[in-house]
Amino acid sequence: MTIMVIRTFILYIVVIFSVRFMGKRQIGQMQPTELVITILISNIATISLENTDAPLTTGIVPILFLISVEVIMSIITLRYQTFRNLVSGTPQIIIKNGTLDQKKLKALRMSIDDVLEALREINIFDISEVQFAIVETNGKISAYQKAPYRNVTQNDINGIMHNCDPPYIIINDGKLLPKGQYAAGITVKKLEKILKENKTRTQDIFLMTSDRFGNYNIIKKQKGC
Amino acid sequence: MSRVYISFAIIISIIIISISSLSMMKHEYERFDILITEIETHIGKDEFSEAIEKSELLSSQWISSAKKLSFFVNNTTLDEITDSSAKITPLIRSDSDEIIAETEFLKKRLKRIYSRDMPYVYNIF
Repeated sequence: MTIMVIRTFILYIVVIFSVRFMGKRQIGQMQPTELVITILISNIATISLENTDAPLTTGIVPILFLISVEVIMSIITLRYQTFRNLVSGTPQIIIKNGTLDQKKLKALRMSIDDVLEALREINIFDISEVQFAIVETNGKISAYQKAPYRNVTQNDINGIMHNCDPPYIIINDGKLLPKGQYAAGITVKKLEKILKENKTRTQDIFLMTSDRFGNYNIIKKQKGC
Repeated sequence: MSRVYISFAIIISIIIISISSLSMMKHEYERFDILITEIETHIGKDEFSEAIEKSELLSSQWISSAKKLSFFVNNTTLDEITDSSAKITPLIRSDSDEIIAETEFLKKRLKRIYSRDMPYVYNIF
């Protein structure tokens, strides 16, 4: 009994350390890899708690190994877009300009009820109000409403309201994304001009977004990042 | 970035510990295998006092080895070997026919400790 209590306490500390070590994302929205790691850790810890004949190392070592692999994997996914797409998948657009992409919905094995429920959760009761709806890699649905249905901002009052697409990512962590560049209609020359105006280079930009009207936003990389 | 370095350090430590645990298990097996073979030789030559001396040495040495091995090996397996090694001295004293069977059982158990941990394909799947 005493041994079991001590082992439980040690495993509790190890699991707490593991979850903290993986970072804050673990507690909130989980990516597929994080979900797998969480399930595995809980199972390994349970086996070690139940079977006092097995050495505690048979529980602790796999947990430490899994969290180490997870941290290394997260760094690799951060660096390589292709690997990130492979492991976490890519966000999928299911509604575009109020039209539901039924093929994509079928491929995602989502019913219309799932979509409507997710939209209702964010106070959208009519699909036609949606400019864009995206199924994120963690399974959540994000929606961007058409201009007449969006909350009015100071900018809307001063200017003309447009049915515009959300801003596109042009540069992500120093890497140019041609898809985003094309979608936003930014030519190579225009991009060069923007970079020149901002006295920066592609590799020095952490994030650059732009909409179709040429309104862009640049976040430069911080030193040491 | 420090987390990545810690992760690499953990993985490298795990690999080092696994390899050293394997070599420790192999070393322990070889040490006890020699001792058991010596016991069998003494019994074959009817040198019972020497055989008893060796079997007592085996029992006492196994207790300290079992403590070290308990970090990596299932307690049930270690307990079986402890029980078996404790039987050897009384069996020699009573000149029982079961002694060779018991020493062979002990050898097989000891070998299984490290052979089960070796990264062979049949052990993994």
